[in-house]
Amino acid sequence: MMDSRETTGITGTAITGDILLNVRHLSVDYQADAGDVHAVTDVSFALRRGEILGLAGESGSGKSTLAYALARLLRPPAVVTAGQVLYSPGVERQAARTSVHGGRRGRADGLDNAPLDILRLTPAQLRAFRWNDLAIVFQSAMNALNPVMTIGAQIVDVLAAHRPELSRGQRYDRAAELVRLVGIAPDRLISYPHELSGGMRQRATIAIALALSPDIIIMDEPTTALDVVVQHEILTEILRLRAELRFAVIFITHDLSLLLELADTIAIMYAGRIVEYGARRELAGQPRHPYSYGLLHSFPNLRGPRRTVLGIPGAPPDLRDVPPGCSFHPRCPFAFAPCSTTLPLLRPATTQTSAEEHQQVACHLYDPAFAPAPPAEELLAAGYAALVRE
Amino acid sequence: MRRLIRRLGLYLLAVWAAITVNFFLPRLAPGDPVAALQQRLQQRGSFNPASLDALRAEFGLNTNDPLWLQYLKYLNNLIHGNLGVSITRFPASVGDVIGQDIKWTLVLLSVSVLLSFSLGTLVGIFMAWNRGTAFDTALSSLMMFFYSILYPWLAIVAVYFLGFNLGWFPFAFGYDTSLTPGWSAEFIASAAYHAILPALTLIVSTIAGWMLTMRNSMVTTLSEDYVLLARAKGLSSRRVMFAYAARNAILPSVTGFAIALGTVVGGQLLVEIVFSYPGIGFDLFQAIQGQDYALADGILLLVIVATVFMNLIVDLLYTILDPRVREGRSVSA
Ligand SMILES: Nc1ncnc2c1ncn2[C@@H]1O[C@H](COP(=O)(O)OP(=O)(O)OP(=O)(O)O)[C@@H](O)[C@H]1O
Ligand SMILES: [Mg+2]
Repeated sequence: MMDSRETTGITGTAITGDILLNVRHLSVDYQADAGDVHAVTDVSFALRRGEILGLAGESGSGKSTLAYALARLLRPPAVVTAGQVLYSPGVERQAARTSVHGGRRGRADGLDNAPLDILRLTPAQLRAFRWNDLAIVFQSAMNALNPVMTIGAQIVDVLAAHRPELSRGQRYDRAAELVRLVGIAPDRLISYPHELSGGMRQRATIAIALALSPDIIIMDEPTTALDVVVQHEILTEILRLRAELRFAVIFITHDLSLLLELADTIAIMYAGRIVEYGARRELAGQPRHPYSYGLLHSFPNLRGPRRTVLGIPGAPPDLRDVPPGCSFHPRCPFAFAPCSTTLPLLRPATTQTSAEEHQQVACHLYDPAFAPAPPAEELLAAGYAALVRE
Repeated sequence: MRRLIRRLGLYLLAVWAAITVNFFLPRLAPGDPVAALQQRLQQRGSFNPASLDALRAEFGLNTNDPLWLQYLKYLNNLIHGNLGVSITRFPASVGDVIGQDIKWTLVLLSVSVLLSFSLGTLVGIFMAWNRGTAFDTALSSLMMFFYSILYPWLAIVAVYFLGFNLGWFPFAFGYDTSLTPGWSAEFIASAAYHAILPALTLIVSTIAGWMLTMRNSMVTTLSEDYVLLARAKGLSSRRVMFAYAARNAILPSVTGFAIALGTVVGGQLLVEIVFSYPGIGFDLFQAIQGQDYALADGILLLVIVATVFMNLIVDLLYTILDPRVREGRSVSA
């Protein structure tokens, strides 16, 4: 497995040199008569070039909403109520891209180094941003591919829209090159989606995502609909392509154990907020937030050390009416007085912060103002075990 | 391809069954058409009782033959394109009557059906694209109203106000009867002028269906991931709207369109009756009233063959439009 922990990101620091995407205090609501659904609340994180950031959380925690907001794909009744998504395209990559495609691709803003707020792009900038800089892969490849168009046509139309200087022949050559890259024989270009297996379809959507060599690819549960073997093949493929093409990935899943194989950094989402963030090694070694601990232990680990499978009792809150304080406190085995009154914010999980430590957690158990010492992992284990026994 | 051949066999079977039913049903009904004709000719004072049997034989109504023999003769005649002689339009043959009148029906209906379908579908696409806007809501309610209007009521209102009261359009017959039918500019203009009101009522009564069908189907496809992906790809709105959303949303409308085209040949009875339009539908109405078996048979047969033929066209069209139907694979949900 690729090891790129050296390049993993940290949030809230002044380091900007290598940061591609800086999400700051992003909030998204679905406006409804019955009350606004606060699907994403005050989310901040950074994504570095070539990094795979895993985003995990239960169904309904706002992962897709966050992804759509970054890709500017939100549809009414969704509205961004606050925040910025700053995107810094790099100069050297800009040059590389120009040589790869044999053509010039001018940025609409003309400034190569100033970060762009994706949420405030002009229509022309948005057109240039889409797919050139950020591409997306959806959960169900069957639904993500147009059933009445061949795979080839669905790749070629991206090229036709963004690389008008390419001839028809060049577009088809590029399409063939792309499918070969993801392990599909170029003669499948004339196949319709229904003629491909589930794994092939997902590879095809990845090929479409790679068409313009984007900086960032968002993958929203790209392997959920696939069986375990194919799922593993796809993950391996993503890692290989990332090493080769150096794009960054935001990989969304509800299966945290998957991220332990794949991600460089992991963010855990609960009820629209990021409750824990850290390098894969840190989260795999010691999840800090009681929710992360429960989530990690609610999936059997297929390859790593055996873990007891525990569940998290209860259900996520109604996002129209999130509990005050920590939104997890009604389900939390460790909830104490401040949890129902004071909102915990992300803070370093340990006091002795060194350069390699990135782990951040939004939990009062780790706040010296409320708890004298952070809880040991055994304590978390015992707390959940007690819940299960009941 | 195998699938198409199988369907073709099925369609031939349907045509044969229709012919058979078409032959037997009227003959089981009470009433003697030759006696009816005799009455009619007597009123005109040109009837010779001795020719009654000759007439029966000529019309294929010779009751001395057993029914099966009549049936075989009927089939034989059909194969030779001989549909018999019309009683109501005596002495014209059924083939001549149909050949002469079908032009009126074909032109009026194909123009209205095509206009209604393409206009309705196109507006439906834009309604769905702008769903929830004032444009969509207002038009949707208007179309629901149109949709609920009964055709006869609409036609009568149109005839009464636009035709009779205001006198904007002629409201009966296919052309100005003082002109001689032909390819003169004057005659064609008159025919077009006469067609406006029936065509208008037809379009108004059917366009709502196309619009709402397309709108609803398109609203469903617009929420599909492939449309979202097309948008994410940065394709132009026009391409997303037509190549991705509408292209998939139109599939359910295709069947309805073919059925509507099937009626083009058969005529729309109500339209032609209300407007006394000289088409096939009006002929059928008169044939049934006058117990003109041969003419009614001929027209019904034509309707059935046309419907079957249109079904075949839909099959072909679907094969072209939807790759999932090719190779006989079922459409997966
Ligand atoms: N159109 C909508 N209107 C109102 N609420 C919505 C809408 N779409 C999503 N939501 C709500 O927003 C919340 C977040 O949804 P989202 O799809 O982002 O969750 P998710 O984490 O991606 O879940 P999953 O794992 O099931 O994909 C959910 O509670 C959902 O009910
Ligand atoms: Mg989702």
